[in-house]
Amino acid sequence: MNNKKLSWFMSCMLFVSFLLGTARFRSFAQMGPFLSPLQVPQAKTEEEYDAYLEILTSENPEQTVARVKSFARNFPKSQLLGLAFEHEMLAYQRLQEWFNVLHSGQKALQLEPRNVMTLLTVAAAIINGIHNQTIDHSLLDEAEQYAVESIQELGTMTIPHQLSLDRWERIRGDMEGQAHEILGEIAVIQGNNQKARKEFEASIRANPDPHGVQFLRLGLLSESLGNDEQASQAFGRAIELGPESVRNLARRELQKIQSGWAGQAMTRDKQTVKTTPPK
Amino acid sequence: MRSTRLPIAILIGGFLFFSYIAFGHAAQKGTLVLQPLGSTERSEDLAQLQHLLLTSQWAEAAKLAEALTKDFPRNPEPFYALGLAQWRLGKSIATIQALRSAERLGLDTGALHKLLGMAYYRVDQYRLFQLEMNQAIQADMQDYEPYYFLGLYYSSDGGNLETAVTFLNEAIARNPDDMKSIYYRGYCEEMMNLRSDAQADYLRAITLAEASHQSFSLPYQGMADVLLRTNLGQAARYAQKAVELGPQLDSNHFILAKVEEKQGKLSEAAEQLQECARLNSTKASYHYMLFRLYMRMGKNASAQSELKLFNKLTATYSDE
Repeated sequence: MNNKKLSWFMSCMLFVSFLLGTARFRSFAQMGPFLSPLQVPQAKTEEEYDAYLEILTSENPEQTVARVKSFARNFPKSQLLGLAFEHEMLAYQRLQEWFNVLHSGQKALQLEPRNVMTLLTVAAAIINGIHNQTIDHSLLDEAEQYAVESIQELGTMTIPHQLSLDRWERIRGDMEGQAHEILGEIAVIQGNNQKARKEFEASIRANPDPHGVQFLRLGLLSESLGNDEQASQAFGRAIELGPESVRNLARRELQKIQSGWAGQAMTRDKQTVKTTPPK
Repeated sequence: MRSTRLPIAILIGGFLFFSYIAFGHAAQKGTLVLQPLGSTERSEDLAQLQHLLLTSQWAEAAKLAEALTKDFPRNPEPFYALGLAQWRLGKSIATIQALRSAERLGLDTGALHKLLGMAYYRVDQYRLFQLEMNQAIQADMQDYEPYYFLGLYYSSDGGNLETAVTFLNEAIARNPDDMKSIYYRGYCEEMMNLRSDAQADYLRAITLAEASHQSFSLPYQGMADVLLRTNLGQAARYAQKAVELGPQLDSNHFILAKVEEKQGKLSEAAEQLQECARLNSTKASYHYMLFRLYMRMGKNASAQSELKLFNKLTATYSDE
């Protein structure tokens, strides 16, 4: 990949990471930590639980952050502290403060090291932070470790009976798909495009309901590698699946490829005219 | 083994409606009577709120109660009404926050503590559930319900059958005709291998249910289980009755399947187990039993398919 293409590709990836990854990772926060009722951390007092509920009912991410800090100060030994840090991490994610996402996520992981949603969010934050230069490249290995751990954890974790098998398989597939997306992005940053393509393809395979953004990533990578056919197919699927921001970018890239084909065809036609012998 | 996680959430629905929304019936124990808000101009709002709660218009009631909490922030009653409406709307966090506000403003009734305790149970905060139930006992020592709920908790999630029986005994002492307390004591006794005690409690619960024309399938299920080894014919009759009264409970179909398997009615037993699996799609043991049955019936392909599903469910779900 030449430098110009690489820079264009990275800027597209940056757009994809910022605008889309954030929204998708956030959706997992609604699922909770997949704990069975008997594993749920218990508040010792009603005041402690009041303070925890204040965090859950914050009106904006800044308020969440302030309330988590207050909770951690007032209830430093609370069993709910890991979950509180998880909410702080998600609040920073909404604020797109990637270094703080990383910091809060690390605190959450110290208390709940097997929380897949946290592992994935922190890994994604590192990538996003590297893209906007708030996090150093040296943390790339850590991001990779988190993504790999999340895949391992998804392979062995058990879930409560309240979640149906079908629903769980969809959630697990989606999370596994995201882990592969992260590994693909890491490979892109490291310049390992073959590995990146494999990971982006794996992210689509893992997910029973793949997202438009996963095809968009594969399309952008294929396009940058000069594989227009695979890129066109991927952009086509991204346009089908959306959402609108993905659709717009995919359409623009598809048009670029198609206009390239049209240009080549026109050139060919002109050459044909020129080379056709007169009757 | 019968169902271990008892349907506490199912039971509390009816309990709350009859125990808590008896506005204007001050003599009824454990009920809420909205006190004057300090402004005669709002008496219409108060009457409207009571009407909305009594007619199960929960969303509208929540809206009005919330407005009243803003106008009268030092009066606990609108907070309680808000908590009640939010509970019925299935909003556990909003329920807890409203009831805690009522509690902080000085409301200290058994009804408040029971409702708050149940809301904690719903969000799996068992320590706080127990705390509120104990406060409900302090608020009204004669009320059987907090003892009943604590008994129910210890017989399922609490995993302590002796303690469960102690609480259920207290509940029954306060309300000797409460068929649910009696049934659950029987359940605990059966689990503790006290079969004749269990049988006596199941029969008593059946008598009370029939006398009050209430549809309560669990004691029939219990009787079928107790009689399974000693009197298959009677066990079959009780199991049939349990399914008839509670077709939505997988544990009723399961007991009937066990009876039918013992009677050699393999295809009927398989049908019941399929219904169990339909009603409770994450329970692995149903598929293992189906695997065994299909093997006995010579249906190897179906058996293997059930075994595969059993292994998948066992690997996926945590044992509760």
